[in-house]
Amino acid sequence: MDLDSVVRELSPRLLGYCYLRTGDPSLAEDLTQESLTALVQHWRRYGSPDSPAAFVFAIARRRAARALLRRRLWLPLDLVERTASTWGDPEASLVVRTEREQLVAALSDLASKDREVLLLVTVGELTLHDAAAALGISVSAAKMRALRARRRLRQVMENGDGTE
Amino acid sequence: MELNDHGLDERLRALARPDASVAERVAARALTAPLQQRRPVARRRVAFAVACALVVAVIGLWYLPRHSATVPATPARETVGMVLVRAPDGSSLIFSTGTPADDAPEGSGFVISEGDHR
Repeated sequence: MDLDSVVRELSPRLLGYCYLRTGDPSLAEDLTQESLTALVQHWRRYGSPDSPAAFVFAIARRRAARALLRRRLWLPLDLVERTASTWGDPEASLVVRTEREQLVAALSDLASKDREVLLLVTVGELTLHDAAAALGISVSAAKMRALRARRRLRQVMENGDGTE
Repeated sequence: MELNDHGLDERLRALARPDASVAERVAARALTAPLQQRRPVARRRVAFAVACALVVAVIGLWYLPRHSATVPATPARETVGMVLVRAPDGSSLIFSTGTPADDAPEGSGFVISEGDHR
């Protein structure tokens, strides 16, 4: 297991996780790069962590939470920037809700703790053990949260609004 | 549409799957340039936040003390002096004179703060 192959293997999984966590491709790219950089620095200083995947996803999770908080504070500025970039181009401002956007919206309906486990296990492709380590909870709690999240997400996606 | 757990997981993975070139680029940047992780947008935002903090500090420390109206002090009971009255029988009373307050004897114009009978 060498650093190069681990980073290249984790990169797409981490990108997918960060994207579904934030709903923003650019922010997901930033978070992924920062998290992988932290892994690279740790690896070069102290050697490989016990589970590189759990290590890097735990960092990405914390950074995503902070980034989302910051983004809420910066929302007015973002709106101005977005308006400026699509100014004069009416086609660009017509946003079509794709399946991906609907899924992000459905995920946002889940409880945050349940969503975390689901994303780590499915998109991040972590084992339940690694996901529990990344979240600092027990394996049985992670299993329960994943089960609850899948059930709820299935309801949302099948019914459209999550109602029974 | 029925979705089992496996189908749901696959759908999530498929929708979140990034462009391979983006993943490769991010991995390469992390491996080769670990110290250049901040993008210019982050730096611009930090600069904007510092500028805002400076403006707030200038307003708070320089402008407001000079331009805000002085708030009058709440009129308080004001003691201006003490009067010791000694009766012929030797007993004495101490009066504090000042602004009539709510607890002053009506019409007295001063407040009895203490009585000392000897």
